[in-house]
Amino acid sequence: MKELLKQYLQVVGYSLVGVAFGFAFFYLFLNIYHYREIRREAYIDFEQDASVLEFDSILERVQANVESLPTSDVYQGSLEYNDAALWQDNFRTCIKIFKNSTFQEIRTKQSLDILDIYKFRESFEQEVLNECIVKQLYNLVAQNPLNNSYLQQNKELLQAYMDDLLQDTSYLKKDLTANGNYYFTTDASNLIIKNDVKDGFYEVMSAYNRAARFLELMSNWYRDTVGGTL
Amino acid sequence: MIKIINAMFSFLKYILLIVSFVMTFYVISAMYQRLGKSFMDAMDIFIPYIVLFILFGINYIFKQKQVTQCIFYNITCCLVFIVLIFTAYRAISDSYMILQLQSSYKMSFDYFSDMIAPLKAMFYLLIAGNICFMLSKRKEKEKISTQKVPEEITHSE
Repeated sequence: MKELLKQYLQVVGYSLVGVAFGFAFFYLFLNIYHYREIRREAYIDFEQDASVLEFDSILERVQANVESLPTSDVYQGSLEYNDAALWQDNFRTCIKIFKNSTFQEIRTKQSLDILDIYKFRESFEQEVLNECIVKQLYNLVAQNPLNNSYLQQNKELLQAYMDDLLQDTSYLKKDLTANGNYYFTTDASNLIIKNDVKDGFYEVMSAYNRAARFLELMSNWYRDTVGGTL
Repeated sequence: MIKIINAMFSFLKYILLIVSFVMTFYVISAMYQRLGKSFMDAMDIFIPYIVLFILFGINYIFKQKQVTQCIFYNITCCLVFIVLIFTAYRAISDSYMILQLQSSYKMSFDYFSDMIAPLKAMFYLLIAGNICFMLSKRKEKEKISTQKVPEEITHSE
């Protein structure tokens, strides 16, 4: 009986170590797979991509609107000329921010990885939203320092647009920061990590486009105001 | 050949156990420092290391060949420690995990904490396996007894 128990213990021992062996292999390959997966790259043709071309064309229109301020001797706009010149500077600053160094750097790359998407999203949040939308334009809409009737009438709509922009990429941020959370390979977590790079690029790019459209909307108002048609 | 491989893995498992312990200690101490928790709360993570180290010591001192010469056990031990070292290495230095960029400690604590539970389970399996092998019948005796049987049969014939 004692001998049988000893032999049985050996079988149990092998079984337990076998389970540990299986688990160890599973986690080793899972880690290797995850290691490779988060380094997945996406190839984007910046010269042909529709969202990038749209962004460029919006910024060109904004630039044209901003540069429409006539010289002071022929100026007939409803704003004070000094205010108009000040807001021209603000719009120019915004255009520079939209063409920020991170975006320009990304445009030179052949392929993007998850770190590029993270930097791209951070540039949108810290530069476009904070430096342009909030610092330059939010006050114009929310406080209406120019006491402009058009801005007063459309205040709620414009403010809702801006509030929406401020939350635009918050889900992407959560997805990106969760890419180290790889408990088990569920289909959902797998797909999110796999598609983070390409989907993340288009999500940030669409946020850039939406913010640029807002800038265009404001620049249209500026063009009409300084042109004397509003 | 098998004896050489076994001796290699048998020696390697001690080194890997120490390395994995040091790396885990480094990550866990940083994690608990960040959380502002007492390090004593993390003792349950280190208990399997201590138990396994004591068992390895007993195996070595009492020359328990049913454990030390079990190549499958030695390979599995090495594999488990390699997984742990790889996990700790990634938690410390894999910059592609975005949370690491945001943390001032530059470590992926969430990733490592996800891996702690299965790794602890593997450690306990190794401990249980070790104890079973310690109490089980020695292999050498089995071999001698099986070799004698055919000789006796041939003599009687």
